[in-house]
Amino acid sequence: VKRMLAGLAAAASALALAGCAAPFDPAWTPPSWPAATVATVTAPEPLDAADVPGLRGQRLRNDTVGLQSRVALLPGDASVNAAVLDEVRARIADRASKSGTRYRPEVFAPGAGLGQRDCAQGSTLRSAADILQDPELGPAGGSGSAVVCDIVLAAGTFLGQRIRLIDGDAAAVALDEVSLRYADTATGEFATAGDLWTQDAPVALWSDIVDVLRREHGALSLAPVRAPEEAGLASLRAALDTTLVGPGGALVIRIPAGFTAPELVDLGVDATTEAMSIGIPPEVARELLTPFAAAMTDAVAAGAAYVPPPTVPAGLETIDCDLVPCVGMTYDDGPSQLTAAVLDAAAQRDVAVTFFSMGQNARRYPDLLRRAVSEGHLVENHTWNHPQLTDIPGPDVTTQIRDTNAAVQAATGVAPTLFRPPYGEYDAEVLARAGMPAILWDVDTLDWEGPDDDELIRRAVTEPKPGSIVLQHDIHANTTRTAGAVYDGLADRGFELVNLRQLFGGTLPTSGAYRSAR
Amino acid sequence: VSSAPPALGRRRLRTPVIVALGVVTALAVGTAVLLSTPIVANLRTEVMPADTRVSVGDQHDGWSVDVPAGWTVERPLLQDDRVVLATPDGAAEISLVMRDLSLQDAFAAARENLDGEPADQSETLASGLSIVHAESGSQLIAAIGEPGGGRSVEVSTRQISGDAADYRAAFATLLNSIEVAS
Repeated sequence: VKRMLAGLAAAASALALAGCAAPFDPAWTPPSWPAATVATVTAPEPLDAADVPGLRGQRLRNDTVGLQSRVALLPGDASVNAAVLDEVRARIADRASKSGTRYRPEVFAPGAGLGQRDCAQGSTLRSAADILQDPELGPAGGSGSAVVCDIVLAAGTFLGQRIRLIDGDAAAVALDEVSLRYADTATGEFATAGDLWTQDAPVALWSDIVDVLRREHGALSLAPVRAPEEAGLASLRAALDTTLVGPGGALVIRIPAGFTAPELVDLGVDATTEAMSIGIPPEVARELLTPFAAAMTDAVAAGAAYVPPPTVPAGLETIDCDLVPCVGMTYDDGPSQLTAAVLDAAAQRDVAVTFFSMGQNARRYPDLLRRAVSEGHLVENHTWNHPQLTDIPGPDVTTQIRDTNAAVQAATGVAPTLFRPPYGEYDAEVLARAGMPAILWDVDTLDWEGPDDDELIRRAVTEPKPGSIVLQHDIHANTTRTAGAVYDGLADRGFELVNLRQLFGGTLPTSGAYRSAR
Repeated sequence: VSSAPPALGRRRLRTPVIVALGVVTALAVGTAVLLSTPIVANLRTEVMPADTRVSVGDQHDGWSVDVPAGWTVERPLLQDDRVVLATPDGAAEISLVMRDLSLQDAFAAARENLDGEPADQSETLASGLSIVHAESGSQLIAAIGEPGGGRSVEVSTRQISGDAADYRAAFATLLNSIEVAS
């Protein structure tokens, strides 16, 4: 019996042991999906333009054609500036055509608030209707065109700006276009966002993006994504035109609503109803980027601080006074000990003016004139000691002009090419003997009469029109004391303060007499 | 008087033996009944020592799937149209059964065992076969086959522990490797 029991027990044990469950490995980790090359992300926020050094904000308001525009320009004649301004001009031409009016630069009453000219941070991301209705951004009354800007990249020598063009009114938006330009401020090279990518990029990224989206929607297939059809490629090309560079140098593109693909349709996924941002890591993007773009993403990835291009004195900038409302502030009778205050005020606001200096004072204060020229201002001829030229003998006129030219040239290295006859008095003989055009004025602030500061500011700020030449004197304390307030007030009305060369379109007249540049 | 006759003595010895045998037999039968299902299952279970192409059925009407090393393959007794694959950590299983049904009918059959009304999703797998699938909670059901074909592989998963989402990629790899004999 014992042997039988033992045998049965052994058999049962053997059977049980033979059927033991397979040993499991609790340390085993399930495999992941093939590594995603792209991912849905949050788009990087625009920068505060005020934090980006060296930018020149340009703001236009024109109620006649119905437009307000803000763009950021680089110092000097950067080629990207021309491309940006061409967009503004095209919008103006369209508005002029629609309104049946001719575009002329406009200014507004004091308090217009047009002195704030930087890109309004985040404005390009607001709804078109919001932008049109915002008095800070849109056309007067909300009907017309708006051009808004954002600085989207500033790293190393690279700067990126997004510009949005909108046209419409409260009822409908007829135009809503976004463009992005990146410039290498060291080389002058610039590229649109779409130009950052090679031709292979749309197809390559299509596959990556569809793969990520299908995975997000529960796909089990590991089959390669099918090549896109033309409509799909077009949507992806449009997305590449929105390329931003995010932290770490990742490229971020915004895919507009309506994106779909056969793989997503099969999964029962509807076309997207909202735009989505896709992030492409730099290591993935690299082989799809142009060398320009690769260098730019490297700068962002390295966290390189923005290095603005060398500053250019305001008076040496190319200003299109057919586009922006310009005014020429002129200062007679100096230089004097007070002239430095004018130069300081102009430097602080990055504006340019013109000095009509007397020869005897030029000889006394050559350093001030040298500084003026080096800061982009013009120093021109206001005779040696301020005689009424029509009352003195002809040879004396010649001497007055000649000796003053020599004194100014000795001080600044630059000979005057304009003259202003004292008291505005001239005749044909004076013009002939001067051999230079006579520059008069259309706004006389009568500062020499000693009005109080508020009155002087009021005259200088409210009386100019686009193209005006304003007469002041840098020998009166009230004038030099109020210079900064006058510049601010003029900017607030929408004026660009320029020297006379800029006021006359970059080329000074060679003969004749002028009261304004209109 | 002092001793019993020999015949009576043998009878007295045989009775306890018969009783003991009865008890042991009853215990053995009981034990066998208790252990037979898992034992038989375990006897038909194999841990893949290496990545292996596992075939089910014959070459004319069978199908096959790539099973990675470490996974457990169970071939249920008397059901040679199916396998149950378990992950190496034992946390999840996937059951694959050949059905003589169209893709949609096989999916409808699989769907009867799924809670809720999740949306169906259709795709083309890397193998070129089509899959229709749906998920509810931690369970995934699917059918794989040629569109318009009469035979399909019915798929269902069972999550024993852990997060089902972590195992989707593993199951997807298996499903994309399925090939059906034509």
